[in-house]
Amino acid sequence: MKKTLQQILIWLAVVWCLAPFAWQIITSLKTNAEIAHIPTIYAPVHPTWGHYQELFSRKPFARYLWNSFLISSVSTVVCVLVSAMAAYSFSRLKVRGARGLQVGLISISFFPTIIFFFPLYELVRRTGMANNPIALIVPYITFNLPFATLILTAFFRTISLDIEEAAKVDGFNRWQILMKIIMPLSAPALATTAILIFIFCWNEFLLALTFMTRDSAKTVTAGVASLSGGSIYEIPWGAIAAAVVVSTLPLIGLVVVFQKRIIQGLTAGATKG
Amino acid sequence: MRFRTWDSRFWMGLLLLFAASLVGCEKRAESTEGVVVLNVLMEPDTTGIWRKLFAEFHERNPGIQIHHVEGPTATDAREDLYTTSFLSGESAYDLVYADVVWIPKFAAAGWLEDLTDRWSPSEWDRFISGSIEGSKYRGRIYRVPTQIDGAVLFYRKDLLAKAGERPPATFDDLAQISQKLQHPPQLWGFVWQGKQYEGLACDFLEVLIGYGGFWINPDTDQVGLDQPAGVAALTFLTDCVQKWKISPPGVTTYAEEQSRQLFQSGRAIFLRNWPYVWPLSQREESPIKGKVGLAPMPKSDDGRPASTLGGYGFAIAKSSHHQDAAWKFCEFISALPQIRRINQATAIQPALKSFYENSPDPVQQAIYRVLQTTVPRPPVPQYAQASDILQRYVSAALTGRLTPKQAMRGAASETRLLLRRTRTSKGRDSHAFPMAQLR
Amino acid sequence: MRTPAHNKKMRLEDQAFGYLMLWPAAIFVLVVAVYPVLRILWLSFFTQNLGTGLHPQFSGTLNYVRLLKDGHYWQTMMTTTVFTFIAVSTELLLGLWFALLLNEKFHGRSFARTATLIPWALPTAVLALAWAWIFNDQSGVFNDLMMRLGLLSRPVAWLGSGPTAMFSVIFADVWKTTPFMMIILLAGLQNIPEDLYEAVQIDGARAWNSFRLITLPMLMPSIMLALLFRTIQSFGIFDLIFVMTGGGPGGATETVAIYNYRTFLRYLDFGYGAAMIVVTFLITSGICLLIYWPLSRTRGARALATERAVEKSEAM
Repeated sequence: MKKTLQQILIWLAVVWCLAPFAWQIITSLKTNAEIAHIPTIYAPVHPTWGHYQELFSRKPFARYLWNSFLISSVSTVVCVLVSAMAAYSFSRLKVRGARGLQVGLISISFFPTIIFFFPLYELVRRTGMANNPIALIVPYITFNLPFATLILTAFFRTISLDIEEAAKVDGFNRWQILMKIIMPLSAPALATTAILIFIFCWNEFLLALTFMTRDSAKTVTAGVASLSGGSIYEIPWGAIAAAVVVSTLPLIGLVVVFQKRIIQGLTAGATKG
Repeated sequence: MRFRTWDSRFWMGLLLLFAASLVGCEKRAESTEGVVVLNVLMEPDTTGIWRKLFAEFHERNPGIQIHHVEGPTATDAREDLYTTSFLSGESAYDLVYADVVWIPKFAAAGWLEDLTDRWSPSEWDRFISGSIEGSKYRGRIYRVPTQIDGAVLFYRKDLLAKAGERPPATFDDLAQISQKLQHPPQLWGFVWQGKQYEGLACDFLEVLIGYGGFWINPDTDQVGLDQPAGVAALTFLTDCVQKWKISPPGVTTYAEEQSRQLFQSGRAIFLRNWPYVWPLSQREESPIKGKVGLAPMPKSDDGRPASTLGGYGFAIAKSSHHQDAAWKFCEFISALPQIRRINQATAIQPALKSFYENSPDPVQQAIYRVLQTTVPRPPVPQYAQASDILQRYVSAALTGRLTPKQAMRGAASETRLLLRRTRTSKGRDSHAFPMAQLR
Repeated sequence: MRTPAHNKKMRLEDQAFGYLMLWPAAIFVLVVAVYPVLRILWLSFFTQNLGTGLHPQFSGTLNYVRLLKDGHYWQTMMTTTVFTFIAVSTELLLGLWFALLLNEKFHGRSFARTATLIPWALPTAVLALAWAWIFNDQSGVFNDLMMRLGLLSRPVAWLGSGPTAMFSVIFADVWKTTPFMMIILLAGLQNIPEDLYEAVQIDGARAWNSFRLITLPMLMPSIMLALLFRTIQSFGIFDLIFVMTGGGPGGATETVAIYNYRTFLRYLDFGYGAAMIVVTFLITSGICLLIYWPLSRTRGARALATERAVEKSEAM
């Protein structure tokens, strides 16, 4: 009895989490008449791909996706690399001043983006970097550094010092030890960190909305959000729903494949902090 | 060995990604094979007329091409897009398809090219004077007006005729007829734009002038919102929703399109909207075809009928590298043949006087009469802030969070603070807007 | 193996190498975080807006004086506080409940965990559009479901009036961020040693007692951490509300971050916006201290709970 109740509650929670997204899939497949129909139609009678076609033909949607992918990947790779270096220093080498940097990093993670927004905007304006992916990549790297160094520092501490000693004897220098021994050994932690950073970058909105003013430079998050009211005759909810689905599919994929890692990474970030 | 390959593959991948990101940031399409490309952000081209005109312009001027960037329909959303673009210093746009109210702000920020000397005064005089006034900042002209807009009261002639009523001349008439004839939710009395956005400021301004009030006097910086006329105006709009219930509760979320859809589906007696509604309502499939009349906005005994001046025109971005090409386009698009075609396709009302002087169409004459009643919004650089203050308070009253009196008091005192604090540091040019608010 | 000289040389190299490894991170932090904070402080003492032709003019504390008198700012601050309080406390309760459910072993647990992660992983700005559609007054599915369930007699324009719009954005925010709460609390739950529960079970305590005596005190640090983090984030909320309601209707859902954004990019009132950031930051910090203070005390609470449980098991 208690078991059944529990099962029911669990599935309620699952439905609660999935329903809003599932509703977008359904809406995106309905015809405009079905979308506007009252009472609401829950199962499309004439499923159509029309809204998806409309999406890609009216807006450079493929370009949005590509921009997001590019900016997120570059930020992720550089951020992982930079934070691995810093984490190695934090975990292995007693450097004076490191503590200050650690405190600085942690405080960044507590500041909302809006604090940094305007001065960064000025910088972008002055250096003529608007619409250049680098204008987003550099802040994205920085915003994810605190979190990434935290996880990697904790992980590096678990790697036995003996391996490094042995490598030293074999004539490896510090850089080689980091790149050829520590990094490969930390592959799982690196992957976890990378997935989380990628998701954060993909989802960032404020800077993406304001630093990228050209349609061809927009990321998918900002592009989709500015889609509303894109038609003079009707608010194209079908196309918006299609946009929601397409722009979030890569993330759904990541979550489905890497569910365990994401939970591990988030908890590591949270509990170590 | 295993480590080495991992290492080199990693660096290769990183290098490739960087290369890709540099490819991704190619400059804006300025010229393809010697053709100058002019970028302009506009609302979506649903009729296809702009595409045709751009193509025709390109045919006549093979060296110039217009690239239409589709933006959102909401005016202030497009204003924000232009603003962020210009502010970023890397403007994506050569031409600005600019609303009347953007001109003071954009010109004050130094983003627009001064066009005054490009034409002689007699050439500028070909446009309806209100549209030129709306293109000026401190006496200089920054925009070639192509369109002039003014609010029209659309009404269902069939329903009014059946009940033996005439189009309302006063606000009281409007409310009475609505209450008498409506049976919500199938048929509402009066629909308008109550969403918290620029359209609400327009709707309110008309009622305000109709009650004999004023918003901001640009010559003296006086704010008139908390005078009795202001409170009366807001009380009327609030009563439409809350007391008489002649406007649907959703009207507080309606922009132009939502209100038009309700009217066009035959579910409203009166609609306050812009002239573009007329041809749409007369389409073959429209349930209200042949049943619609046009009238100026109502007034009270103390005021006069007022119609908020709106309308777009083309301005040239100071940052554009192709100003002469952009001017060529301005000349092309503001000429009568093009203007006529835009009007045929979209019902956008031309700013050219000659269009009306030669038009045999009685509906055009009726609209021309409404356009005589147009009032501009206060032409101050901080208009956006003033408008946002007003929208916030009017919307708060409409949704019942403040009484009309509280709302107008709050709006007036914040507006005064806004004008006082920004006007102290510089001298004002009082000759800039001679006719402005109190015509 | 190692001579003392070798050891010393290695340590020197380590210092230099350690610095080298920290430099990239330090540069990023300096440019993207430290510089902006200093710049904002500096700018907040200048007037730079359309009134000054966008040129900065030193104006002392004028911006701060203006801010104190700006009813709009304090209204958005109030809105943000109400939003944060309701949203974060609801998320906490719901997240705790989810975490307790998912901590049990059951068939399909992996699937359930994946499903509950989905809201967290999706972009807020995009999902805000999805929620605007769900709460649409004419064809929104929320109205339809409520009417089918008999909870509403006629459609409501959810985003059309202040309280319902606030309800809608809080609803969406709770949906979006409950998974984050859940994950942190789940980690906390998994850190509680099993034998603590065994001790209490032998003691004959019922489920509620074991929750009250062990789970809750042991979970306190996680709860406080999650609260702290979510409160800060919620005070800076922008994406969700900006896209869903734009702050409307009547500014009923306008948060500080949205007003701040508009001050910069719509009103071009730069110095004033900077002052607004400084004041908002101070207020947020104050609230965080209020939360952090009990956090530092719960360490003691946790130790006490452990002690009590151990005592009991030993007494057996």
